[in-house]
Order: sequence, then structure tokens, then C-alpha cells
Amino acid sequence: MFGKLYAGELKKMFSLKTALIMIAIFIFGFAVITIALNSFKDLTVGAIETDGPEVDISIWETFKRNISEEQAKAELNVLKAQLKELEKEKKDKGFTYYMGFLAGTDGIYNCKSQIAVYKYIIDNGLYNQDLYFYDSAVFAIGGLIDESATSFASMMLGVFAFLLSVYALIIGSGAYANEMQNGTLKILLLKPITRNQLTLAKLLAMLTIVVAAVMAVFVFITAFSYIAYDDPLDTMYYVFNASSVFKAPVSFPLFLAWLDLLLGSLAFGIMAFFFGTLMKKRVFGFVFPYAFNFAATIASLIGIGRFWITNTVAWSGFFGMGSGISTGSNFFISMPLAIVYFGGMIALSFVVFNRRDVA
Amino acid sequence: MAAVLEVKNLTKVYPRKGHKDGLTAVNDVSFRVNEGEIVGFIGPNGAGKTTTIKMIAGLARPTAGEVFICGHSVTRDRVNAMKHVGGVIETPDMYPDMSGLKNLNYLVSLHPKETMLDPSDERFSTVSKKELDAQRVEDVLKMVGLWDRRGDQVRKYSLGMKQRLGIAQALLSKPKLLILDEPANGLDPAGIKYIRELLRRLADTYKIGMLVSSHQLSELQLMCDRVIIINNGKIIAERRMDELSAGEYKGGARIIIRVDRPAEAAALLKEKLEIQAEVIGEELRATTSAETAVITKELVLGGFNVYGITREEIRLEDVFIDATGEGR
Repeated sequence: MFGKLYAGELKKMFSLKTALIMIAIFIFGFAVITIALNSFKDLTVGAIETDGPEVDISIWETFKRNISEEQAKAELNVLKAQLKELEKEKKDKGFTYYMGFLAGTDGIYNCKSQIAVYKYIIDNGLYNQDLYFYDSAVFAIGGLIDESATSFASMMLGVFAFLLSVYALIIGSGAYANEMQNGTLKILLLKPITRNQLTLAKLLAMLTIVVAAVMAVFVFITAFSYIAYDDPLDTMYYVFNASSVFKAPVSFPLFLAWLDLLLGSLAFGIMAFFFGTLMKKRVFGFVFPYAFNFAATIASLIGIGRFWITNTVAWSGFFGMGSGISTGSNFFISMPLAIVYFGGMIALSFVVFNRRDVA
Repeated sequence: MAAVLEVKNLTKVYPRKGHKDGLTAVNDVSFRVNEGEIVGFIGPNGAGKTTTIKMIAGLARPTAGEVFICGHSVTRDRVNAMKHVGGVIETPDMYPDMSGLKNLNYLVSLHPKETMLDPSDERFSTVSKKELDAQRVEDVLKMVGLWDRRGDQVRKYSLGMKQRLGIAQALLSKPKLLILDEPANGLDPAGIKYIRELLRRLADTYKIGMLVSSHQLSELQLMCDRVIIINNGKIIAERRMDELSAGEYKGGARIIIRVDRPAEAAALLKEKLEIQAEVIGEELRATTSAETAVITKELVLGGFNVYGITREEIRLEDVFIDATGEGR
């Protein structure tokens, strides 16, 4: 019985027309960006060549650390002193400390990341050799200037996250609001099903379509990137949550980009589903998630960015140095908060719809 | 006869700003609908008809009271209660981009297999749900006369076709109870007649109990077995249609007497039989339980020429206006 309900919801929510329009925009955008990047690269390299000696613009060079034992220990002491100062400042200023930083630059977090890196070098005696430490902020724009598979794929996934968020909004916002607006909900509620079953079927169908769309985009971009380009390294070092360091394949950022895309799209889908159901009109399913997204910048400026709903799903930011996470944030704040926010929205969707009189 | 619908002390109070008690839309309403019986549900606009119907269908939550469909409570045992219910509430809305057939194919899939075929039937284990569903969809589309137009998008249907598709959709579950809110709304006379005859046939053939709300009282009178009149959230009257067509109303029948010298005849009837007759032109009108033969005898003995005495059928409209106090 539930299988039929779910299959029906999938069929109703998935519109071939919308999907084809999205695919067309995706292919067109992908082609334009790829061609533009190639032309842009030729221009830049040419300009640098005529002006003087050739400049190495590879992002991988910015990740490289090659230091002696003395250098490492000296750096570590400098960083420790810096951290102490920053923490004192935070203690003195209290809440207003966070307001001093614009969105995405957290002195303490970045300082801790650097300390973790140097501690790792010292603990493992990795002196006088080329070590590559992943930096998410640099990597995000790396795809623009660097012809490597993982950086290109990560950048492209970041670019098309917007398109997928729009698609998630279209799917999520219409789930209940459409049926309320065109009156078909009255027919569905006369069927021998409970309201919870209906909400669950709609929610699962929405999640299925969003996940399928994310996977399709991910597979396409990854396949293209790895056919067209190569990665210059095998492995890199990654800092997690400004505390621990681990070694992983150079393609690990691709997983992070995928996680970002998936969590971001699901977040938009769930918000659209919740607000569309709560407000009974589809337009609110569009307006509220975007309003929340834009308000995230303001939230970061006034120091509550780390608690802001749309920031709590940016988990990929906790990997690497120089990350774009909100000030004062921590993976172990964001993850439970995300579960509370989005789990809460899902639970509220059930409660709200269960108690509602359908007009 | 078994009751397919039992409404017990149903009450709905809407919260209203500035009012402590809220707005009572439906106030302690109780009635029942038996199998094979068409019950008209009438009342002025805002009387609480649609709110009552929505509570019966489980679209709105009752503030108090309970609804039982085939013995199952709508609020507590929704899945079983809704197994054999079909309905069109307010407007016959369907998915406009799908064809009529696809709409029904989707909706029929939401009904369990035992709705389509009794589990004790020997074919139950051999025939698939899909076949049963396809058969049922074909049956209901043929019943409402839409089989030839099954492939068209619903948005291209006329209002009459949409109403018929709405009824077809309601019949998918082999219902024991049909809830129809304004089924003939916006239809032309031929369409109204078609729906009326269809519903009457369904009630008689399949013993479906129906609760039909409508403003078209003359249509209801032709179709219903009984009407319930609701006003200000309360049931104010209940009438059997056969009583009305026999001219029986308020303990008597309405009679029209055509006689010479009507004014004098009226005085005679008052004196001899205590009948309050009204003189209208050449006619006398009265509501009485006295037999026609007795009246004729008195008038003839009194020396009047009686040209005719007819019992007038009571119109539902009169009952309605009388009960609701509208039009005064």
C-alpha cells in the first residue's frame, strides 16, 4: 500500500518538462563555463609571459610545506602565542568578538588549524620534504586556474549547487502546496490512508528526486573532469575541525564537494517542503529558504553565524585550513544543530499537517 | 436497514479573535444514512453544511462528537472507515495535466486489493491487483459515460465531464457511502438530469448510501429519499420525500378546492369542519387532514358547485423556506 503511495508521489512530483529544462540549463552552463575558463587561461598565461618570467599559478604550490625541524618548532611557538592573544581578545570582548570578523574568517579557527599542521609535522618528524596540506578556501577557486581533475570537479560542483538548490525548491515547495492549491488534497484524504503516511510518502519522494538529481550532476561532472584532466598528486594531508590531521587520496575534496552539494540541496528541499506545507502556498516554499540563505551573511556579521540554519550544513568547511566556515563554529556544534533544525522541520511538517483542517 | 453513516453529536467551533467562545459552525448535529438511501443535506449559505461534510470526510477535526462510517470511527480508525467511502467535496478537482484515465489509475492504486475483490472469492489469489484496478477503472468510467474520453487531459474536460469524473473517482472504492457536495453545481439541465439519474441508479443497484448537499431543491426532491435541513449549525427539520409527494405536511395535506362562491364556501368549511381555508381568486387553499370525500360532501350539501378538489404536492422549497424562516 505504502509503495503505491510513494510511487504515485514520485510520479506527481517529477515533471519531465522541469527536469529537461534543468538539464538544458546545466549542459549549457557547463559548456559555457568550460569554454570560458579555457580561453581565460590562455589569455592570463599569455599576459604573464609577455610581462616577464612565467609565474607558476598552480594551487598545489600554495598547499606545499617543506620545512626544517627548527622552522617548524619556531612557527609552532609563534602560532601558539598568536592563539593565546586571540583567545584573550575573545574573552575581553565577549560576544562582540564575533562581530569583528566578516563572514568566513575566523582567526581562532585558522590559527588552530595551522597549529594542528605544525604539530603533525613535528610529531611525525616529516622534515625537509614536500608535504601538501589541503586548504579549502584556495581549493574552491583552484578550479578556475588549475587544470586538475579534482579541483575542476569541485569548482563545477560548487557552481551548480545553485541550480540544484533551485530544483530542490521546485520539488519540495510543491509537495503539499500544489495539492492544497488545486484541491486534489481533498480527494487524497478520502482514500484509506493516514495523513502521516501521505506526509512520509511525499517527503521520501522529494528526497529521492533531490538525491537522484545530485547524483546525476555529480556523476556527470566527475566523469568529465577525470576524463579531461589528471591530478598531479596521489595523497594530501587534511585537517579536520582545526584539531586532527589525516592523510587521504587527493580526490578526497571531491567527496567533500559531493557532501556539500547533497546536504545543501537536501536542506533547501526540506525547508521548501516545510514552509510550503506550513503556509499552504508554494511561493513561501521559495521565499523562506532563500531569505534564510541571504540572512546567513547578516547572521555571521552579528556573530550568530555558527548557529544559523543554512550554515549548519556546510560540513565540508570543517576539512582543511583557511576554511570558509562561520566564526566560532565547530563541527560538533554544526552537526547536532543541523540534525535538530532539519529533523525538527520534518517532525513539524508531520504535526502541522496532521492537525490541519483542509479547506 | 444498516446504517452506513452515523453522525453523533458533531460540533465544530472555530477560534475567533476577540471572542472567548469562538464561532460555532456546527452545533451538536446527529443523523444517520442507511444503505441504499439518498439523503439530501440542505441549508442556507453558511449554515454549516460543508463544515459537517468535511468532518464526516475527515478533512476537518471535530471539536466534539464522532462520525462512524460502516461502524468505524473516522477520527480513531481512519483507514478502515475510509475503505468504502467515495466523495466529491466542493469542487471535482483532479490533476489537470493527467488524462482522466491516468487520474483514476493513480487514485485506484491507493485502494487495497480487498476493496476491489472480496478475499473469500476464489479468484482472489490468482488475479493481480493491477488487473482488478484496470477493470474497476474501466467499469466506473463506463458507468459515468466517460470511457470514450478517457485519454483526454482533465483540463480539457467540460464542467459536466469533470463532475462525472469526480463521481467516477468516488466510485473507485466500491463505496458503501458516497459524500457529494454540490454534485450538480454549474451543470446545464441535461447534465443535472444525467447526474440525478446516475445517482439514483447507483443507490438502487449497489445499495450505496449517499449524503448529497445541494442548493437545487427541486432536483433533490426528485432524487432523495429524505432531506435534512440545517441552519445556524443545527438540524432544524427532517422530512421524508414520499410524505412530501403524497402532499402530507404538518399533519395534513395541502388541498386546492375549485368551487363557485369561494368566500361562502370557506365560511361553511370553517363552521362544519374547522378548516382554515384561504380564498385566492376562484380557488380555496387549505392545509388539512380531512378526507377529500368528506369535504366534497359538506360542500355539495351546502349547495355549492364543486368543480374539483386536488391534493397539492408539497415542494421542498416550501418546506425549506418554512423551516429556515427565509424569504419572510
